[in-house]
Amino acid sequence: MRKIIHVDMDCFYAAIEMRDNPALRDVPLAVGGHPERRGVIATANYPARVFGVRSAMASARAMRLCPQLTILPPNITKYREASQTIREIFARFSQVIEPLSLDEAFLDVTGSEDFQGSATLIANEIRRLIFEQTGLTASAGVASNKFLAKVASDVNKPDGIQVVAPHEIDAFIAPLPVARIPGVGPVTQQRMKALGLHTCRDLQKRSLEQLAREFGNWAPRLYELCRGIDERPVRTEREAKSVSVENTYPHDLPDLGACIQALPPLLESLERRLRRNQHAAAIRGIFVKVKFDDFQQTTLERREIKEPTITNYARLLESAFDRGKRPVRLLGVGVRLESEDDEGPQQLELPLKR
Amino acid sequence: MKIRISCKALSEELFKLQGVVSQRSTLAILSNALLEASGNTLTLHATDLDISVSTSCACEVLEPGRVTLQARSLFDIVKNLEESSLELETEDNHWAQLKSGAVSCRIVGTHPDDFPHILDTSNVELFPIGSEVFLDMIDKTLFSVSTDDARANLTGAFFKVSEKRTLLMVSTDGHRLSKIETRPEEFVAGDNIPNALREGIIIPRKGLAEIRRTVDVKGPELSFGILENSIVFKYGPMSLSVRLIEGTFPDFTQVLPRESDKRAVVQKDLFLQSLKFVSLFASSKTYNVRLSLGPEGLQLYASDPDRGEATKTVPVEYSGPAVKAGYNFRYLLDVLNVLESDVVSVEIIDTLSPTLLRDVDRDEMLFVVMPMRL
Repeated sequence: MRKIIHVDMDCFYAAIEMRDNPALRDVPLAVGGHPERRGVIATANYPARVFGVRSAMASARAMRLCPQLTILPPNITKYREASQTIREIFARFSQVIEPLSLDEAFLDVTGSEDFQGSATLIANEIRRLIFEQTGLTASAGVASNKFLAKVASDVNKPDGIQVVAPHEIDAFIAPLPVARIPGVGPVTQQRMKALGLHTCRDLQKRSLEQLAREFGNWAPRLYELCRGIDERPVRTEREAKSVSVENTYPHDLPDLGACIQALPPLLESLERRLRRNQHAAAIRGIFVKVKFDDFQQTTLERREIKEPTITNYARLLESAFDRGKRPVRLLGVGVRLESEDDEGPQQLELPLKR
Repeated sequence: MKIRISCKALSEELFKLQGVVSQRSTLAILSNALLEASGNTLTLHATDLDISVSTSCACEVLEPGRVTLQARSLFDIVKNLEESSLELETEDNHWAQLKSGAVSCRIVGTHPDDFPHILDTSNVELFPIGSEVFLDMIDKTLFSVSTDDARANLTGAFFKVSEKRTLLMVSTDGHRLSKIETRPEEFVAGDNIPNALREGIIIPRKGLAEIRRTVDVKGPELSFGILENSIVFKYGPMSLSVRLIEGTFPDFTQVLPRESDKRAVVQKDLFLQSLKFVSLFASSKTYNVRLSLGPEGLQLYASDPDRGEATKTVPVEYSGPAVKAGYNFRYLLDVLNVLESDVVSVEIIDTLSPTLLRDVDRDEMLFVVMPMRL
């Protein structure tokens, strides 16, 4: 039986801003993009959440829900610093750490000798140290796998902990709404609702074959998750499979010409990101992402093009634009990297000059 | 328009249009054929805007005129008639009435003025080219033309009049390359060869495939010429114009391997049959088969975690050092299928360099296949 801890900072960005400016503590606060420039909310504090402000929501919508909302631009350097402190704390208790983002990570503490091996006590000590050293609160979930630990960390948020002991798994998972299962988005949720599937208990009553009929290839995974089974290991080194940058434009780019003109700054930041990450992995392909003004989105990838040059992206962008031929609200460019999944021989290119 | 025409003659000409008319184009008119009757001739046109076909046959014109009809369904109708002739007459709404023996039908049509403009090819200067030779050039190159629209300049074959009477055709998809040079007896051109041909043009894949489909070596003479940005082929009453691909074909000379001391000579049929056998064990994702040359001969090897592994060794004439490389076996099959000699040569430079395959006794064509990184 494994012992997994999921640590999740409470309203991380907003909490840091409140810590640094106590005047913001009791007012609705969010960190995110400017509402008039189509920004989105990254984090909102609890007073803002009362109004229905959520992360990933358009800032403009958040302002409509909560007109007195203060929206601060993100200060990533500051957040990164706090994140570094937190990771150092994690490292005192385990070598097996999988960071999911700046404010969230899985720890595998199986076999740890701290606190006589009690994952619950370790989790509480981590939370205490985080508060002591950063002034920020964290919530934790403790369970025998990643899925349960992640769901658990949300239960007593903020500044809380939830432990799911092995004998409690059934009782914990059965009433869980299907939306809490990773991969069940609004669309699947609607489909499940139509099938009378509201909780994991409902899903458990379906056989694997029945699930396969409804959900295809995803069925085996769903069958396990709704029973609280998740064998995924905590992966210490997350290999980047791609690097990309994107931008939502304050005003739609009206045509292909405008899109192509928008490429150079995007490519510059892509290059910066590639340099910073110092990916040893070779580039295996390039891709563009286009979101049109009707929110239709398309991604076009070419595996055989390995140079992230403006000419190559422009050509790709042209084909991607053709799929919608509408004003464009968002453009993204990226490179696909070699990963261990690509074992096996790869076709070499003839050394033709382009 | 009103005509009386032989079903066989009409169906033969309609066949030539079928590759060009599209079934699901956004422009409905492009699935139609334009029929024009005048004098004692029926002329038929079809186009997908990149390729246009015009052809004609004799008929009895009772009333000259024009109409556009759905090309595929007209072909299906005419093919299935039992009588030897039919009568076609347009109605006021541009539909057509067809009568043949006991059959009478009305076919939906559209106004002929809606049909796109067809390039007038009547004044093109034409150069005869042996159909047998030209079809052979297509056969040797079509399979390695790229299908990837992101590299548009590779989606056609490069065609060039290299010296006074030598024709060159090259194609590549970035992984392999085919090259053939010929001097057809039929091709006699003076100094009046268009510049475009001297520099080389890129003929799109579909145009070549259409020539392959409609031209018969036993048929009339095949000739070609350049008109604006198109290559025009004439074959009996048929004229096929293909819009050329704009752009430059990459300089392929640099990827052609130089003469090496690593030339292995092998029986083609044995090689082909062994490749087919060993490839039963090749991964269905990568199609990888490894070739090793050494004192024992040419060893073919494939393995896949889901299938197992297999080797087969075939005798070769080879005196070079031991060398091996992996390949997509389908690329090798494509080449072996177009080679013609009983014995062929394989030149593996090393694991990562282009490999050369060719007939032992036909120097004018060669095939390059890039290995896979093992």
